[in-house]
Amino acid sequence: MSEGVATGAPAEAAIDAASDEALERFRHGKTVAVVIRMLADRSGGAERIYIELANMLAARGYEVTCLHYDATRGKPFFALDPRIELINLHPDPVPFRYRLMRWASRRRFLPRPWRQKWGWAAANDIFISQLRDYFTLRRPDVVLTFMPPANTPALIAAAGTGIKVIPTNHNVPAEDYTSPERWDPNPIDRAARLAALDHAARIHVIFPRFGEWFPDHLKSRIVAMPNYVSEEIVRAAPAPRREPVILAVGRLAKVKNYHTLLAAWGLIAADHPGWKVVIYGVGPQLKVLKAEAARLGVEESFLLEGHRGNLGEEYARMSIFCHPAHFEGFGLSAAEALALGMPVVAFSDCAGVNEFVADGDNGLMVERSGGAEALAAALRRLIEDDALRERLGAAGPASVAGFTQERYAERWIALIEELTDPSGTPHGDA
Amino acid sequence: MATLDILIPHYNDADGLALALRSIASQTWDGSIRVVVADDGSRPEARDAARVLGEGFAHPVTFLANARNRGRPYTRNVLLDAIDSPFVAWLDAGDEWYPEKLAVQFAALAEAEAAAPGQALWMSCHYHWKWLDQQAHRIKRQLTDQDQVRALLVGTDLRAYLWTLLGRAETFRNVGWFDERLPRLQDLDYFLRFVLKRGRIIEPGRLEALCVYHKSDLGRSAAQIRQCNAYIFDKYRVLYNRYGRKFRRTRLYHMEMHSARFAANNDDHALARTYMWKAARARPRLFLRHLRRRGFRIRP
Repeated sequence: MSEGVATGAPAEAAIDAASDEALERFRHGKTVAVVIRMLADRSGGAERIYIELANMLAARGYEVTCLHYDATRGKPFFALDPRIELINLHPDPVPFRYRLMRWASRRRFLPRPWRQKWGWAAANDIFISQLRDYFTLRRPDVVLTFMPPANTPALIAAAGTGIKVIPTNHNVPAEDYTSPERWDPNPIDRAARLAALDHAARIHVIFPRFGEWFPDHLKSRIVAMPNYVSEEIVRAAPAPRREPVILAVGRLAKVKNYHTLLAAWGLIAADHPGWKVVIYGVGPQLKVLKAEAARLGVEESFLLEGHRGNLGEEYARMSIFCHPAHFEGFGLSAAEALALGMPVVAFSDCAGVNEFVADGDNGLMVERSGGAEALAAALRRLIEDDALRERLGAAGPASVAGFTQERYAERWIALIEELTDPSGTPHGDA
Repeated sequence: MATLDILIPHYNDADGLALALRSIASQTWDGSIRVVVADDGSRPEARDAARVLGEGFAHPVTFLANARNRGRPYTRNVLLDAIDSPFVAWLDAGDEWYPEKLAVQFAALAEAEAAAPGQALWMSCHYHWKWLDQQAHRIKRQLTDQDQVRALLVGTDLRAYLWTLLGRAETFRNVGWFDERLPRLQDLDYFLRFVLKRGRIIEPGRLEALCVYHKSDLGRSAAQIRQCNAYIFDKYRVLYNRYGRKFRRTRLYHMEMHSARFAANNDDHALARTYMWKAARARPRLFLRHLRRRGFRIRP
């Protein structure tokens, strides 16, 4: 910097060249754009990771811009570092042409292919055009995109621009890319999701095994980075004597399969009157689960407790964690439970959980074909065998010790640096 | 450590600096002030004159100097880097604060911070706009209760003038360095970045102006102004796009007319006509309306 001198000092002393050091100091950091489609007021796991990753990069000197596409004017639910720019790309108002397309796409008397085409265009064209303007005019060094509704438009927008885009996948790829039940059910979207990956510089997945699903020509671009257990969770201290509670944490949705947990509990509740099941989470199945618990006569011991903020303390004081989900990208709640010394019971085919829960090491893995009976048997075994419960619980923290925020940040930074290294490969855009 | 750093860039304008320093000395706010002057490679006599102005000044003055002229954004970065106090205000050599400015702004900022803890705030104020060759002052109001991104892009009733501001040091640090590719309009870029980083510009809620801007287009390159306008237009294209095609084209029209004004005021009428022609192409109707009302005259 220029040398500072209080007035009254000799004139020469006040004069200092705008030194190279100052030029270096004023240089802006590498620019990273982080894209998600919906962010306003959303409190899901992906949105949390999106914000935390942006914050981690900003804290390490990158110039981060968060781009989203929300029709509403809400704010991010999670706190964003004040050094990060936040830009909503959604037009206000939406041009008439696109409102007309959206309207027409919902008119059932029109041919289905037309409706699909207009529906997809109404949902994506402006987003793609805005992203393309941003990419070509701002030239971010790297673009990270979150989940298919942002991955596809960003990859299409970046095609041919030389911008390096890394789409991130937070679930099992087969579900994200082929299931008609996930994301936009429009077949145009499903086809575009996979085709657009040709323009990716790298393709992020949670676990290496998820990378095996992708077509051969994309496999060399796969990078696996598991999520992490937040430092806030690990800060809680495990209780010396745990309460007789089976805990489950997650959205009350079909994919979490809490009906099977309820059915299993119905089979063993009467034998273990001191025990109960507690589920933290909200979702569309709340009423159905409550009604079913009442029908089974376990409403007093099967408790749906809604949203809970300080989950670390809950993991620290309860005895068994049960996660009966069909599949996960990264079974965060199971990893958090392990970090705080809880043994985990899950189905052995549950991707995203079976990557770090091993039967007999830190939990019990149950064959899905065994259904509620098999789940009930595993829970009964842990309830009745204190020594087994303690042994499996004690192995938990070490089994997830690699899932730290610091390591997660380091992996991303290494990848960004690799892609932005001038001596590295020029671009992954095929 | 002082409570407030007042940051002043200087380039070959010791008289303007003297005016700015006098307005600091006349402030009624009684907190501790440090003035930081950064000379941007002025001629030796102008630089020495600027330095001498600080000697015996009512408040401590830190004098920084670039060995050669590096432009306004670089010099603003030198000043930004020199911040040492918890609060920061900016003043340009040649502009002037009225005596109440700091007192009113500090009181209003404290109140606003209490009402919105954790919110990054910049306290701006209404100001007088005075053309150098005219006697009349025209009050310009900073209307902050609106979509501030849109308002800054329009630049009519919320203008990006650093010398109207008082804010906490970290709010300026969080915005980052000034963009050195913008020899002009770097303030607009800086304000936009502040608002995009969830900062909020506020004003004290008083009707009167708290400072005066001595306005002149003389000696300013219209081509450079246009280049900077074009750079801003590209850099923030997605924001212009957000508000629709008509908005975007209207802003283009005003950018061309703005450049034409600088060209006309510096007697480059051929260049002014070129820019007006470009403006006419961006928004023909607006241009025809302009012609009907004012002909080819564009000086406000």
